[in-house]
Amino acid sequence: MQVSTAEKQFVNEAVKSSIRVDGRRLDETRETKFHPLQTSGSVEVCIGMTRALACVEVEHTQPHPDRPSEGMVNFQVEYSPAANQDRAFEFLMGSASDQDPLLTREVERAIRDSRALDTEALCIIANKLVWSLKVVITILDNCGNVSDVAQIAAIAALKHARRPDFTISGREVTIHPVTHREAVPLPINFMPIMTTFALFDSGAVVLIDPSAQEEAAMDGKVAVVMNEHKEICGIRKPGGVCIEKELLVQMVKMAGARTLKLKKELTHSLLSSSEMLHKLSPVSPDPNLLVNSSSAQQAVHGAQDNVAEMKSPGHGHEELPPASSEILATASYSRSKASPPPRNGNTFQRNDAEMVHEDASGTANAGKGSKTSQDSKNLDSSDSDDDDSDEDLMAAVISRPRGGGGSGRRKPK
Amino acid sequence: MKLDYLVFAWAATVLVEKANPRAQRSHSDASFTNLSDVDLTSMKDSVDLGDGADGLREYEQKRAAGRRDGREASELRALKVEQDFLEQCDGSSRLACGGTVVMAAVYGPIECPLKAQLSDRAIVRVDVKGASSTVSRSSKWLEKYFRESFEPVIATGMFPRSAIVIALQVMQDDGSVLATGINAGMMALVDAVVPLRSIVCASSVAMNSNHTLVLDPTQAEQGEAVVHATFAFESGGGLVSCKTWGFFEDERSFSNAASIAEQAAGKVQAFLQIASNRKVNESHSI
Repeated sequence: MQVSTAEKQFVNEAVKSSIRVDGRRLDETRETKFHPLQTSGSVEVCIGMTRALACVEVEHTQPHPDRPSEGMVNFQVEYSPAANQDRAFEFLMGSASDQDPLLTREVERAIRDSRALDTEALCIIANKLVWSLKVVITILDNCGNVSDVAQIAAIAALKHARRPDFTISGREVTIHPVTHREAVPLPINFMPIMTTFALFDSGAVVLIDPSAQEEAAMDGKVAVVMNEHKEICGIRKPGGVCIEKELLVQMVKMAGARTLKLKKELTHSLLSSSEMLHKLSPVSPDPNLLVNSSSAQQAVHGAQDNVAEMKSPGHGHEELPPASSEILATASYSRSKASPPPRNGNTFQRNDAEMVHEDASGTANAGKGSKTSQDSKNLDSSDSDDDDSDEDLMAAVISRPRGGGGSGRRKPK
Repeated sequence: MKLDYLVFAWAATVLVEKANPRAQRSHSDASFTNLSDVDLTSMKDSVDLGDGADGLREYEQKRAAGRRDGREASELRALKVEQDFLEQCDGSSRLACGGTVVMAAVYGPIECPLKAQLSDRAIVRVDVKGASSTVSRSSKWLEKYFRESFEPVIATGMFPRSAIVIALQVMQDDGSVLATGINAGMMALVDAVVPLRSIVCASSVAMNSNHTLVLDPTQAEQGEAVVHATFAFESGGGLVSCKTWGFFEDERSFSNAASIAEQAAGKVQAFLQIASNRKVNESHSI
C-alpha cells in the first residue's frame, strides 16, 4: 500500500503519544472472528477487516522417497484481486502468479516446521500410501497484518478438516468413503498462532496487530508464534530497526495471552459448527473416493503390487466380508497367532528386520508423542500403532478392544 | 434429435406469472441476520402460465420430482445475500443459494495498465477462485464465461482506458455455481455503483433420467443429470448467455428449460432488488 509522507508522519507522531489512528490502544488487537464453512477444512478468518479463506484438500498418495513413513502437507498463500487495488492492478497486468512465496514460507514455518501437525501419523502404509494435505489460503481483503490472518486461517482449517477413515486388513487398505463412515480429524499436536508487532520510534514503541496504514509507516516488525502451552514456536524479526531484548520478552508475553484467547475462541466456533461436519465430505479431488458400490471396500491395488510374499504357517489370506471393525479384527487375529499383525507397513517389511524396527519405533514415538498432547483422543488408532513388540496377538486384541490395525471409532470428538 | 447450442431471444410476453399471494407474503416476512442481510425463504409458488404454453403444462404435470431436499421441481433454494462487507474493494457481495456460497468483489473503474487499455471503453476482467480443485482447473473458461455475461450490461463506454475487475470466490459448492456466481457478481456490481444497462440474473436447470426438469440443481443432482444448463437473462427479458452440458433430446425440452430458467431468473432479480432497496433504505434511515 502506498502511503504519503504526510500520512507516515501523522501515524508516527500519533504513536509517539501512544495513540493509534484507529483509536486502539498500543496493546489492543482488532477483533478476530472465525467462520467455519460447511465443507470440512474450509474456514474464513477475519482480523478486523482483514480477511482470508483457507481450504484444506485431503488426498492419499505415494510418499516422498526420502520420507517413506510421513505424510505431506503443502501450503500455498495467494491473493485474490479483491485484496487490494494494487493486487487488482497486478491481476490486470496479467502477472502469472498471484501467490506470495514469502508469506507461504512464514505459514509453513509456523505450522509444518514446528511440528504442529504430526506428519508421521498421516502415514497409511509406509513406503506405499500416505495422506497428502494441501492448504490453500486466499487473502480476500488486505487491511493490514495479512501474515497473522493467513497463519491463523491455515491452522484453523487444519483443525476443521477431516480425512476419510481407513482399515487395514491383511494386505489391503480400505479407505472408507465419508458417506459410509464418519471422517476423522487430523493429528494436530498443538495450535501455533502468530502475532505480529510493529516497531516505531527507532524501536522504542511496539504496536500489536498493525493496520494497513501502520504497516506502511512502521520501522520494523516482529512476528511471534506461540502455542497454547505458552511455548514459543518461532520468533521472526526480519531486519528493520534494532530493539532492546527486554522488549522481545514483553512481546512474547502479549503474544502468549492473545494465543490463549484466540485458541479458545477458535475451538468454540469450530465446535459449534462440528455437528454439520459429519454430513459433508472433505474437499477431495478424487470423486471415486467418495462414491462407492454396495460393499464398503475399495482395495488399493497399487499397494499390493510390491508386496513381499508372506509365507507363514497357518496364515490364510482370505477376503473377509465387509463387516464392522470389531468382528473384522477378531476374526483375522484369532485365526492365526503366528502371522505378523497387519499393522502399518510391517506387513510389507517382514523380510527386512531393520525396517521393521525403524518403522515400529517411528510409529511408537509418534504414538507416544501424540498421546501426551491434548488432542491424543482424536487420533485414529489404526494409523498410529504404539504396540511395537511382537507380543501375543490375543493380548493385543484384549488390551485394545477396537483391535490393532482396525479402524477407529465411529464418531470423532 | 440432438439440439445444437443456439442463443434465443425470448419474448417476455410468452410467459406470464400470476401475482402470487404466497410469494408476496414471503417477501414481507423476510428476516434479517445483519444489516444488509435479506433472508428470503424458498419462493415456493405455483407457476400459472398463459395460453400457448403447452409444453410447460406438460412439465407441470410431472412436477412431483421427488428431490432429495424435498423441493418441488421448480423451486429455488433459499437465497441469502450480504453486501458491502469488504473494505478495500469498491463493492462486494456474498450470495448463498442453499449450500452454494459465492463471494464477489468489484473494483471499478480503476486504472488499467497500458498494454491492456482500450481507447474507447473500459475492459472487464473476471477472476474466479474456488475451494475445490475442479473450479481452479477450469478457471480460464469460467472467467471467460463470466466476463461474457457481465460485459454486455456494464456501460463500459463511459470509462475509456479503465478497467473493471470482478473477483469471484467460490466458498462452498453445492451445485449451480455458475448461476450463483453471476448473481453474486451482479450484486457486487450494484454495490460498487458501476453504471449498468440492466440487471442480469441467472439460474440453472437440470434434466434427470426420468426426463423431469429440475430447477437449481444441487451438486448431487448435477452429477446424475443427463443434461444441465445455466441461463442468464437480463431484466428486459433477453437472454444474455447460456451454457449447456450434455444433450437435450429435442427443441421442446430445451425451450422448456429456458422458460423455467427465465421465471426463476425473474424471481432472483426481484430478490436482489429487495436486498439493495433494503440496504439503501437502512443507510438512509440513519
